[in-house]
Amino acid sequence: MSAGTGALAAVVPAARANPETPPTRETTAAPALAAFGVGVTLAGTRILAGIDLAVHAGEVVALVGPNGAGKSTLLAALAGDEACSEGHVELCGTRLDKIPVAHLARHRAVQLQEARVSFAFTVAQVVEMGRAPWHNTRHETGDSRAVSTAVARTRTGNLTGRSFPSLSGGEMARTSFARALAQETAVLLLDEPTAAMDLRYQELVLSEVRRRADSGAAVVVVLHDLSLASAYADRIVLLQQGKVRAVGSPRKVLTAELLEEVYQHPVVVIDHPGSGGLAVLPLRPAAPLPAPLVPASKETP
Amino acid sequence: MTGAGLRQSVTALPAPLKLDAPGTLPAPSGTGTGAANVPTTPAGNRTRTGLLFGTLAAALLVLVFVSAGLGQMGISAGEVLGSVLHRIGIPAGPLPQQQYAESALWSIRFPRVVLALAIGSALATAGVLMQGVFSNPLAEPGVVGVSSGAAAGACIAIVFQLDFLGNWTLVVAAFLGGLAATALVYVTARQGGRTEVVTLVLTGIAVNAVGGAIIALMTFLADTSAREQIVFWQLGSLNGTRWEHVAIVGPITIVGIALALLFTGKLDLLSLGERPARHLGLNVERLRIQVVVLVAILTSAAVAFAGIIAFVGLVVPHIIRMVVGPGHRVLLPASALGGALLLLAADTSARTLVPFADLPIGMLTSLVGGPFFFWLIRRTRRGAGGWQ
Repeated sequence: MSAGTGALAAVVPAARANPETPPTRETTAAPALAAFGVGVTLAGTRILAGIDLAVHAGEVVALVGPNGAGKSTLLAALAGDEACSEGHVELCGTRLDKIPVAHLARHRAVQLQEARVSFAFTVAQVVEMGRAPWHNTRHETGDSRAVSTAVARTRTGNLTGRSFPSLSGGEMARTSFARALAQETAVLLLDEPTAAMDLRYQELVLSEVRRRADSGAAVVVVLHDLSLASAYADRIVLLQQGKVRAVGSPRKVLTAELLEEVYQHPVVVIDHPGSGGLAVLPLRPAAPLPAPLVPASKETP
Repeated sequence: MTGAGLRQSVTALPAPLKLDAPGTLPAPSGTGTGAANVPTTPAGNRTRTGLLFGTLAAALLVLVFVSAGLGQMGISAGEVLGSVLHRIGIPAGPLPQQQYAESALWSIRFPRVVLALAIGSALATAGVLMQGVFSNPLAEPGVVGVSSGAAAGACIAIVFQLDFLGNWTLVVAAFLGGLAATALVYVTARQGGRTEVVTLVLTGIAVNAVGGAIIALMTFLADTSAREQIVFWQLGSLNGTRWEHVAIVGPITIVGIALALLFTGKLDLLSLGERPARHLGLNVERLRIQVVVLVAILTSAAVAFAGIIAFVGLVVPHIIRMVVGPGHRVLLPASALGGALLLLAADTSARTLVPFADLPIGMLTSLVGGPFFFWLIRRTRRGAGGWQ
């Protein structure tokens, strides 16, 4: 892949690890990113407890679960934003809290749910900021190539001159994704990158995520769209009330019974025609016929 | 193209879609499948930047000579230039003809001109730094109360006749007051890595109130001469500037701006927000503390001898941003130049608008800056950024 991932590629074998391997310290190669018994308490509330997770190079892991299950908090803990009250996170076998931020930025890129820029920077300037970790390193020469590639892959070429605050939500998310790509790191952490996007760009972003993983990156992505998760993720981690409820291949985790229980809403899981993936749809009661419209104001006693 | 990343064939869909076929997915113009050439620094923008610096520098140079010549004793710009050239050993140009013109120029006018330049650039730089660190275009040393904190510190030094550091006592006292105010604003107005405008302005009111109360108390306690000095300060004026003042404020300003230039790239990253900046390798807390101290230094240097001159740090960076965008590498030095230009123009007006009167410059900048601030609040509230 890129020059940026070279440092980690030496440490982490590019071969796809067995997705079913339980996350233990005994795993032969150090995973790109691993959580060991991670618990997070925010303002007295226990958000996460006892999370074990290992993400290997070449793998896309989707974090799914209902609102408040702790997906974003887990991603923040994996990114090093949120301190673990129990357990710890390791990046390539090194504890996250032992790695200086400047060093960390050359190994993992993060895209948050909400992207805001305080001043009217252009899209091109925002994407270029993704190269900041590589300034004053020998990889600096790759700046313009990395930015151009990121812009081309995210189809943001027609936005480069636009001011970031003037973009739509989906365009902002695409720009932030481009910034994360330009950082060229071996680990990508994405928090609902597709939430504001139309279906074309949802597919575009996850295709690119898949492509990065296929060339050796380890990706953790928070997704609400379970069909999207089943199409692109190697493994799905289903969170429920701050704990891992199930982990495994999409077909193993995304079953109607389990999802109904966790989301407390009836669902139907069907085979996506042709793609080999799954489609998860909520079940709805048959709609009653609409009542005839009688304007209430016209009624006279 | 998009299809390359799809693992499974999609040809078995009811209506066959060929994602790989060129033209099926209309790619926006300008983006190919490969690496498109991104105009990262458009040529037009670079020309604009050059033009801005050229214009500012030229205007500044002209204004220095014009301003030094204006006053009760009129000296032509040519004579001013001639006098300067003779001083630096080039015997060219006409010398001032009137009696005492030469000494008026060198002991009264030039110190005042140079101090105006120093204070203007210090205030504008402090404004840029503060806006960057608060991620908010409305932060300014005067508005959020840093200036009044510095003034309160200096007042205490005057009233109690502190002179433990000689000429520097006033600046150090102002610095301590300014630092206390900045730290207070920093701790109270920020929440979750951002500063809401409402919180910032309200904090400013609170800090200004406390600063004002300390100044009022000091005015009450002071003897007549100290009282006069304090009153004169609150209005803000460069009247009575001596070279000794320049010798203190000048070096602080130069060092402060030089240090500020080291932070430009980091301030750009900070505009993404605290967490994303950290994801890009920035030690956010360390940067914030460094910048806050620097703001206090620059503001106290400006306040110590000239009093509170508000809105320079707000108006100048805003105008520069409209011309060349928010990138701090250009914004910061351009604002320093612009601040120098604005304050020199304001001071020249202050001492020439009304014959035989030296208007307080702080009053002039507030007269212009107040309505500007009002307009800025309305505009920020309407548009994106800062008002949430």
